[in-house]
Amino acid sequence: MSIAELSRTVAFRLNLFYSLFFTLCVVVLLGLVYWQTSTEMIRRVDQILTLEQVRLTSLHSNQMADDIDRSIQRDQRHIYFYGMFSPDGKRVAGNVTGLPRDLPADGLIREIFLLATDANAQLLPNRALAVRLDSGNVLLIGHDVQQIIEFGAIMRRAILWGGSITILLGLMFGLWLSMRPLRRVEHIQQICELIMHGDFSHRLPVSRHRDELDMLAAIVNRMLDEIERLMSEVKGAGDNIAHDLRTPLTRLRAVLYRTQQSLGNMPDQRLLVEQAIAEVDSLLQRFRALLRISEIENNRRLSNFKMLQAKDILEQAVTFFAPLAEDKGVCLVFTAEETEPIYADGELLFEAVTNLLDNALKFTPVGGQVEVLLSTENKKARIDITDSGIGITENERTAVLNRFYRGSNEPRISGYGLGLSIVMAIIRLHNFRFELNAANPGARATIFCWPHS
Amino acid sequence: MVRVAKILTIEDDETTAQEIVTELSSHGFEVEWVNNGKDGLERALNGHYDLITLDRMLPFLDGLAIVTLLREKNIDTPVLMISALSDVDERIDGLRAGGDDYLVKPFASEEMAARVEVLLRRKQRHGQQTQLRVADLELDLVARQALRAGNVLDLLPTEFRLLEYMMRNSGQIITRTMLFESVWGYHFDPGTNIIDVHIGRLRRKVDAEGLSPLIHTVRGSGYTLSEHR
Repeated sequence: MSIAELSRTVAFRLNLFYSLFFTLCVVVLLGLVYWQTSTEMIRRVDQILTLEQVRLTSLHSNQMADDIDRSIQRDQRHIYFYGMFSPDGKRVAGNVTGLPRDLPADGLIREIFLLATDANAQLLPNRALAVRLDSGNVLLIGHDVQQIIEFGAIMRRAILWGGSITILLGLMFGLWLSMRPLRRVEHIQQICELIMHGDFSHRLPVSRHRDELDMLAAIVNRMLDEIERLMSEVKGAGDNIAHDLRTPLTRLRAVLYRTQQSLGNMPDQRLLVEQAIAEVDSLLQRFRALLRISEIENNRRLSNFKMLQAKDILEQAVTFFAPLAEDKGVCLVFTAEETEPIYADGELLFEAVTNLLDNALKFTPVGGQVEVLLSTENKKARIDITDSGIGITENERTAVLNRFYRGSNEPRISGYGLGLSIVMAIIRLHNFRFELNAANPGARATIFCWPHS
Repeated sequence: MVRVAKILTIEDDETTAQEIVTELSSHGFEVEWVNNGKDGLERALNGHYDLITLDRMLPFLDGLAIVTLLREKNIDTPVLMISALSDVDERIDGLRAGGDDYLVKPFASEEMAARVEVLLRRKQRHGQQTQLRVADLELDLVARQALRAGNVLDLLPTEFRLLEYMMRNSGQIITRTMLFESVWGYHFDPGTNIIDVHIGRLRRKVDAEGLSPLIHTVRGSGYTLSEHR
């Protein structure tokens, strides 16, 4: 079972859907936490800044510079920025290098980069405000928000990793979940193949879980029971008719035969009885062929199967038909390549080839040709029997393989139409493949002598 | 005077039995019929029969068991098994158990009679012959050569086997099925007149112009090879 197959299962798709949904929830939750936390932290910073502004502006202006210095010394973490600048922009007190241009002295808190006066100071992100004092100086108060920004980056990384891992785990879990149902479906598939090949003794497996697959399997099994019953009824009826009629027909033939024997010197009557016997014989032959088909179809035992050379069987069949071809004025050609041995019932294969040759000769006019070709396809044996006869139309091709059908191109040629059905029954038993194609002119029957499942 | 051959028919179906008895009697045989396996076995063990026709499926005692028992007791009376089971495996079982021939029901009476005649004839032959002769037709089985009126016949291998079978059973009616079974070794119905075509070719070679024909067609049944019609 491949990943592609697994990913198509219902279990996998459901799981994928849930994984995506869950990941989305995780991302939204973490995002919400991040947003709430950072907003709250900023709000607190802003509150501190406002309080500091109120505290400092309430002081007298010469106290203010001292207070700023004290505050800077107290701030060991170096997160506060103070600055007092004269109207011409000179620093009077504090630890900020200068008053940034984009920070107007309107008392509103802004996000801005400030540079401390320390020797190795860096430009740091700050929340800051500036106000103009009564003295005309400008007071700047800032609070370092580097940590809050770092916290934001950590949260974003957490969201990214958390989401990815959730999706990955979800996918893996989904694949694992779909393995069991897929394995069951594959098992069901194998059994269905067997049933399709006519082995009705098999049923779909039903587990103890009574899940949806089991419910389906149980329904299919009931259906198979019914189909099997109907099939055996139909088959039985057909075979019984053929079998039951055969016995009285044989007796009728015996009576006719005895009548013919007793007619001694009455040639006219003898001829009539002989015609009747011929008719009964042709009827009996049809019944024999019908019973032969069900015999082959019912007999699933493979006791007479062995490895054999297709060439030997074909040679025998061609030799068997050579005199008939010659009498009919048809050229019978046999060409054989060396092929691997095939696993077959020799007698049945001979019977199939005989039927095909018989048909080929029947439908080929005088001066025509019938070619028997044994070749290899992917090292396996392939038998082609091609005639230069009247051929078959596209529509007839399938119909011709069914019981009793005879090609309408040539209604006068005698034949019982059962030959190809016997061939089909034999091919099915061997699990070979059979094709009937137009050969322009004529028809080509092909047997692919290897197992086709 | 030629002794009339005695045949035992073991068959539980009365209609089939009647058919066998009528047909074989009309061929001049003396036929006894029993309708169950137990009586059949007793008679087969005690009486002296030239041939037994044996149904494969009988009440109480199966046909297969009977023929196995007869062979164990060294009774080599030819047995023609008659069965409704046409399966190849059944045929093989029947012949392996000691049956001499196997005929599937329903059968044509003359087919059955022809097979009985051939089996009876086979019993009379002793040992393996290397030379067969009918009138001026000779067949040398060692040299694989056929001569008609002193001239060598040019026969194909199949034709040789056909002629050999017909000569071994000369004077008997030989059906097309019997020829197909014994010369080609297959047991299905070839369905066409192909056996006739083979016989036709053989006949053209054996019964050349100016010679009295030896191969005769028996209408409705098959062929026979004999000096007299």
